[in-house]
Amino acid sequence: MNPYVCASPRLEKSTSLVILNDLRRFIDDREEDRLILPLRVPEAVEEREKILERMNSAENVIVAFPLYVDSWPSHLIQWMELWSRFRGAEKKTASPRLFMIANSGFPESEQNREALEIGRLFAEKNGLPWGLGIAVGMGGSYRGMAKVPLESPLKKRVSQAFHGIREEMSQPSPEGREMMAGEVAFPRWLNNFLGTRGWYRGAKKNGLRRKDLYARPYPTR
Amino acid sequence: MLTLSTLSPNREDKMRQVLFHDTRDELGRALLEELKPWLEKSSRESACYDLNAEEIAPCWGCFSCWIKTPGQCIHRDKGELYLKEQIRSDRVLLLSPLTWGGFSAAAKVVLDRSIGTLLPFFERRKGETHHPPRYERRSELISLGYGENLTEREKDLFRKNSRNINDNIKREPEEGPCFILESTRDLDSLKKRLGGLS
Repeated sequence: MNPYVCASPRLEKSTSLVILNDLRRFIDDREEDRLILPLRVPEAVEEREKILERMNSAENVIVAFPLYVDSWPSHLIQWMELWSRFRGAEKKTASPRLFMIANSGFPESEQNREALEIGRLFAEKNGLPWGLGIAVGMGGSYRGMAKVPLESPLKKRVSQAFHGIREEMSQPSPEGREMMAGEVAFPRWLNNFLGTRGWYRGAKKNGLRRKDLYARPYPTR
Repeated sequence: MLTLSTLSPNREDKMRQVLFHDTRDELGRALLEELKPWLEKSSRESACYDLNAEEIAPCWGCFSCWIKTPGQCIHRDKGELYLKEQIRSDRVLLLSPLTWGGFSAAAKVVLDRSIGTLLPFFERRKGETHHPPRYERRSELISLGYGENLTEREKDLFRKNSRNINDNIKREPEEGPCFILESTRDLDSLKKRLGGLS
């Protein structure tokens, strides 16, 4: 079993899920491997441990997440803290290989580097082998291309990065691989232009004018 | 827990400082015990919040704080107060167990819930794309990561991560100060650097 873990707070609506769907189709499309981390950790221990056990007993775990303030979203940290304790308390001997895919709306995939390094350090500290970290820039544009096949030149770098995951799964290297960038081929200016247009459209839908977006609701003193 | 020091005439030139802390273990509690009196003494006004006292909702990524209620989070919990405190303070100190080179979940949620201090648009800074700040006046963020037997890699990653956060949220100064605290002795350098004092 290779759980493809969607660790986005946006759950079903997330770019992380779009990326994972592409990856599942590329590697091994099995419905039972799909896992969306709940935003709130279940209070019932059994329910929580069922999720942790799925990750812990796997051969490979692939976690996709959005970059939130330069790192993992807080709920992913919470889940990883729980996983770490779970492994410690249960003296877990299984060691799934950890892969991570970070995406952000910014064009520079490089901005995801440290968040992936945190993943590598998590793996080391918890006795898990590291597989590969993939950094995806222009996440919003990727989501807009959900239906574009991986064979398309627009997703050339994505499929190269996914090849990296597939190779690492079949022939693991002792130290894992260096980060790969996996964004769609799209001009930076267009990514930012469409992003900005999206904010204006969203505001209009909510009955706001453009200038309302600049509101400063709280006092600075 | 909230403690507000009183205003006094000789503190007028000092800063308003706010400390958010996730201090669940012995070292964390010892650091907090030393930090709190220093914070009160060195501030014109100060506030201190225990992030474990009350859980706040994680950011849902709904972007309401950008396009529905600009500047305000959709969650009406204590996170709203934390956001206001960050905006009205000169300096924000975030004390967290150093967690694989980053912040703990309890500390990170404070940062995630603060994206309303930014605008959704894009601008280029230092060769990278970032979001511009919503407010003209910006607080200084001091990242405080603590832990025992930390490796150089963990410390280095925490420094890089703190710098990135500072670059992204464009807090002042440009190089976001970051302190690694492995014992209460390490607080001396923090007090020296941040002064009593500003």
